[in-house]
Amino acid sequence: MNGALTYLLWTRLKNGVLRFFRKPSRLILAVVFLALIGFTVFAGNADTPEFPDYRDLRELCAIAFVFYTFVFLTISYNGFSKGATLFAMPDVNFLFAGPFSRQSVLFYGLIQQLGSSLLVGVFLLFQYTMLHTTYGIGYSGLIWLLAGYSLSVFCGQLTAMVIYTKTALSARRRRTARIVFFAVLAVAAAAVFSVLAANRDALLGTAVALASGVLKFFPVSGWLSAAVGGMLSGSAAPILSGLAAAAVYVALLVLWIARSDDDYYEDVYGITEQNFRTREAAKSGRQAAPSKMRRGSATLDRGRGASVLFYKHCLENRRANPLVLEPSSYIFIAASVGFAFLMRTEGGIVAGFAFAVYMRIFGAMLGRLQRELVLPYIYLIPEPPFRKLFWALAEALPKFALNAVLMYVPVALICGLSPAETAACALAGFAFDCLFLASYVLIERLFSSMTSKVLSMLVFFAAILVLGIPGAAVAFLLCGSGLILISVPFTAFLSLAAANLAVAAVTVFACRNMLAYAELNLQ
Amino acid sequence: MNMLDIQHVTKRYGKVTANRDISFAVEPGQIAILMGPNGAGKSTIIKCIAGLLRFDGQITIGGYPNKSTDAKRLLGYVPEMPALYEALTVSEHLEFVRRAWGTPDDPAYRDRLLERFALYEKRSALAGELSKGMQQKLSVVCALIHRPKLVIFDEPMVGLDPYAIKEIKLLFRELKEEGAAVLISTHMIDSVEDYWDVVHIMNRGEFAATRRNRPDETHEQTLEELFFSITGEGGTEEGHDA
Repeated sequence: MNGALTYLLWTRLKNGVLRFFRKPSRLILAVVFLALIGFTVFAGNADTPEFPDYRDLRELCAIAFVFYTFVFLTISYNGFSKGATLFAMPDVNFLFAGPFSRQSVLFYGLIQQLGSSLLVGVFLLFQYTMLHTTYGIGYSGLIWLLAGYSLSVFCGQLTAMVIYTKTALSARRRRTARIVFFAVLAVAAAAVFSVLAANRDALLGTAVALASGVLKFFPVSGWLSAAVGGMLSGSAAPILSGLAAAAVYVALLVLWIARSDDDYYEDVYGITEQNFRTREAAKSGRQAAPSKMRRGSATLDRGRGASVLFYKHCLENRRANPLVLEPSSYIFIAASVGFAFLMRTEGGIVAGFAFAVYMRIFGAMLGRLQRELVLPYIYLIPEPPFRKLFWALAEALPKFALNAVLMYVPVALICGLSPAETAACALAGFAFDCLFLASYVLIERLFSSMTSKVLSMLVFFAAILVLGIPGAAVAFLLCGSGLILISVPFTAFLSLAAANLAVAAVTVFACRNMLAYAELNLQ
Repeated sequence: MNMLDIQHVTKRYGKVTANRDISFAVEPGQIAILMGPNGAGKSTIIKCIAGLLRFDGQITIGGYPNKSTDAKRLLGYVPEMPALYEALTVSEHLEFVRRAWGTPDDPAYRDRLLERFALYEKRSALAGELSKGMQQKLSVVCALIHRPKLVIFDEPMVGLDPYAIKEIKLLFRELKEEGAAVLISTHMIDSVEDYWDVVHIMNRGEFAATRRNRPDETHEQTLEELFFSITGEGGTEEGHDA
């Protein structure tokens, strides 16, 4: 690689490490992060029983396959719309306009992306306790799972970039590529459904069939999960074949870009600039506007005083996203329903409900209030702060209700709950969404000036744990003391719902003054 | 020979034509201005010249096709958005550019540039720690450190303090005296004052008027009047000097 590019990569890496020592807050964050990982590993090892009864490793390989496939396909699919990039905006300004060959710049981008892909998978390290106690996975196994995930992200980015570069200028090519993409997907889906149909009552049977069947030949995620499976079971053949297939895939794509006459700079420029603007907007506490907005015929003709915020948010949401819920919410709904189906005999409603609630942690966010907080209008509206806060948050309630119907009702029905228990389950899910929303409000009220997103998330998780205690305690005490209404699940869900709604309401009321002083939130 | 030569450049984004049949040239020692309202197509032609976009037509820098490394060696580019490597210090940015363009080390010239833009004291600071205005200044210094023969500035005054604006205007004149070709894109009529040699007024992706700054030429309209006669309400009126 060009000497200047090597200098650039090395200096950025070196300074990236040194930055932790330039700011004490960063160093503290790094220490806390490492301590948390250390605690996770320590806690996982401390739980090891004398005669462990681990689950079949092939089950883990099947989970890895599904996870890698989801990541690889969703990232790759971007190639048909906005494209993907291996570059950042400074690369455009300095490298694209600089005296470098396109091949050198591409090689630099690949190395940079590989590093970024490794970093995005760091959250997997926190799964050590669960993986160790359930499957007997050690440190090396965890690192291999992380490497498989990172490579899936990397290959997804590269695939999306190739799809976009090769099809952006031709509608016919794009149509053909889309057909090929969905054909591969259909074959994989057919194989999965045939396995599910043949193993209707056994999670392990399904997992084994998935891990050892034709799906290990599925591009990228099949190869990588097979290689990880080989690493975990100590079998050399799948390691070599899986890694070799992935390496050949990457090499072919790189050669295809590097050897062709296509100028990929313009193809990656648009998405690089869009990413840059989104990042800049996030730094200043704003949300970047979606690239496509439909104006439609609806207009702002309802609401008065603080309630106008609710109707304004509904109108904005409608223009930005005609699907009502975020696209990711539908994926989480499908994942929760699928999980409930697979776990209906082993874990029942407890596992199904817990998984669905876990999925919703990242779904119940502040929404448009986040944007309102950095604009002056909400502070200037002549209404009491609590009323403004309530109406600004109210846009989330219809979404929470819709999500509860689409997510918790099928989960409850799959797990065999009665209609009354199903309704209580959906209400409990709705209440958990409200609790998560209240947690976001609390973090915004107390730590709005915190610039570290990682630290914000850690504090958010701590807030959820604290605010969730009353609901769990009430449900546990009622069910444990024998005060049962209709049935145990009904009582548990109803008490959870009542307690969580009460805690959420009190929390939001306590935070009402966040709209009294703009300097609390303006960054 | 023209340092920058643009022949019949058309740039389309799908069905939208951002630049239509643009032709112009910038000679060594000449300051050319691209002026026009927002969305006139100024940044698009600048990005085409910098080699970031595909186009129909021909662009050469110093006689080389603009996407060749020979052409890029002659080019200094100040983008509209100052995007820098956050994990590189001010000095390391300049060192990277020096290595990339393969120019000999000239600490005196480097320090002079840094002092001019009040960056000397900040030379050990990471780019991510600089204010937006400082980042813009560093972006300008990076474009000049390898002594380019053609410098293109995309909205260079935006975000700069009055002192830096004064310095950059002085710099335009110095670049001209040193024989560099300078192309500046701006929508701020006041900012170009009288240091320009040629102004191209763009509207709706096309050149609507071209005016040269010669002592022997007199014009019925001031530059501002000409600009508004073209881009005023409706923006369809043709300029008199085209």
